[in-house]
Amino acid sequence: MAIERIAYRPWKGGFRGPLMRFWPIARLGIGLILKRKLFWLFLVISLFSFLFNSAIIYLIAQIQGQTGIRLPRDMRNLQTEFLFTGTGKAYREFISFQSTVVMIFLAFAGGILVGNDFRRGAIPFYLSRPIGKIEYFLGKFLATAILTTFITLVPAVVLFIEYGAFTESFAYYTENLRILGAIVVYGALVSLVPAVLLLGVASLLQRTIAIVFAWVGLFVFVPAAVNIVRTICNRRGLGDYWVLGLADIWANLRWISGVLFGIREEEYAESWPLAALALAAACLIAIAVFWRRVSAVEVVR
Amino acid sequence: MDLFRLHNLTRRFGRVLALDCREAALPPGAVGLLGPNGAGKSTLIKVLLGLLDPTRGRAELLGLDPTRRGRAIRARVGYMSEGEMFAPGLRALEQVALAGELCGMPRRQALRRAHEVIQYLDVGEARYRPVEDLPTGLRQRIKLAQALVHDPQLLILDEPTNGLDPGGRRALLELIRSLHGRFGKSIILSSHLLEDVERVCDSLLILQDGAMLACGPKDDLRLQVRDRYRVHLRGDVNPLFAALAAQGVTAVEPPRRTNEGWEAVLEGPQGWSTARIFELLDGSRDQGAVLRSLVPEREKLGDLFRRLTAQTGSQTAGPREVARGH
Repeated sequence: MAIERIAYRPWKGGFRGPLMRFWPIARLGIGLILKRKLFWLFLVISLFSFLFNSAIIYLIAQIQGQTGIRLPRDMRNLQTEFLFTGTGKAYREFISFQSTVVMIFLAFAGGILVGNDFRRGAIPFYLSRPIGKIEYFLGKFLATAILTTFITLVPAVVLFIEYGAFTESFAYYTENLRILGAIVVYGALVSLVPAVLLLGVASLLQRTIAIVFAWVGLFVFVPAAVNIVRTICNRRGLGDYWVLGLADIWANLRWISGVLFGIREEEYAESWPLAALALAAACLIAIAVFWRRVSAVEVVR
Repeated sequence: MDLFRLHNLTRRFGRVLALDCREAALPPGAVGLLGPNGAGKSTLIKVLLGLLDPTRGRAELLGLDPTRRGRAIRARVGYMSEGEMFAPGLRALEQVALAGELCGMPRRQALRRAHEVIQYLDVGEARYRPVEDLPTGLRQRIKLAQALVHDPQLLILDEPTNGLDPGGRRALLELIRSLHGRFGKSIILSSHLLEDVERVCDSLLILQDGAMLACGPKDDLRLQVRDRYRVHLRGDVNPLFAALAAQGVTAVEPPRRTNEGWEAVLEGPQGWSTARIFELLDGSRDQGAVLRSLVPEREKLGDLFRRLTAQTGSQTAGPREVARGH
């Protein structure tokens, strides 16, 4: 049998259409994150909270439902305290807690997902293929969003299903469809808004340390500064400058979640469209920064 | 259809005019983009790929307008950039497969094709190592594999031999030559190294400080050097050379042995006619010198570049840099 010399061979296979070309970028991003042990730690931490709530739902259902024993008052207080009551507020608090993990997770993920692409010449690599900035953005956004929804939205929906399952009737689901909708929308918001913001910040700063500092500034210092200013203004009788709260992304998310879950205890709840606008503006700025930064050509002036 | 066409194309970065090309068009083949560093070669490539919009004018690559059909162009073109161009954290094989996937290849097929191209480029088992850990020569090959994975019609190679040792450079140029010669790929080779362009390309577009100095087939651009001829001979050539020397014909390049016999560049005195060489050959027939070819000698690329820059009155450091590879 003759051994043929290896020669160049033309490609005889086909090509897929342009629609899903962002998927390899997203898959690669998820793979890069999951290669790091640190991110598994964040995922495990987020899982703890979910498992704790899940176990409590199960435990209470067992005690109340199967043994018929009514929980003592202290225990009921404990249940309310820990917010696994199956109400909208419970899910909101659960998602809000998870979103804290998301923020820490994203602070460290930005450098790997986006920053390294800038620093190691991957942008020309991507953009010299038949894809554009849109596919690159979608790929990176999807990678971030998939990871964050697995921390926030997915566990919250699972808790909702579990809680309903232990009531042994469909009434919980039918009566609380609004809560399910709120979980989906709020879960998506706390996952997707930070994901978009991260793309902007990471494309601008690129290095993990810088991104972490910016993230801390955005999600810790700005809210703290807003609270301090509002408190000072209140104490001095200058009035409540609640509008300042629009600079606080946490506050905006919480504001909107109050409306979504039908929780009326929030101040200025009726002004939630302003909070939505503030979030939209922040996302638009992040997208604009990302758009401007992502370029196959680096102009050295 | 032309490989590319430029119509009064300019590109500015702020106040800096990075590219200024008049009318130019070249047919498919191996085209050399020649010019010193900063001449505008990479800018032109990026405009042709649709990665940069021209400030003024128009360009066409493979009959398509890059400003509107950039993706369609990039689907038909394999681009190997001058700098590092890798997605971080991947092994060489994954890198090439990812390039294929981004061009629309299904994942499994992209992986299979990546193996095939890497095998062809002789990367061997290094394909399983992270790209960051590979030596420069292999990294350049992986960049070429990325450009080649989707079997493009045209390869645009921006300084492909950068950082390579002479052996690696020769091997890579040989590969590029075979892709053009044996497999019919059109090539745009951008380089500041004359030898690279000389070896691979049959057409040239010469740039200096962003301005296009010349564009056309290599042999049309190079002037014939007056009274100078390149000859290929077989047999015992010494008596012929002695007879030529007696007529005042000197060997500009000393005769050198080739696989087929001898090669020399001869320069005759003013008014010397090539007919004399045939008369001498007729006279020395018994001694067995056979003339295989006699072609007018053309100027070298370095000389061509110097002549063009002198014509435009350019006083930059360009020619020296360009001559570096000579």
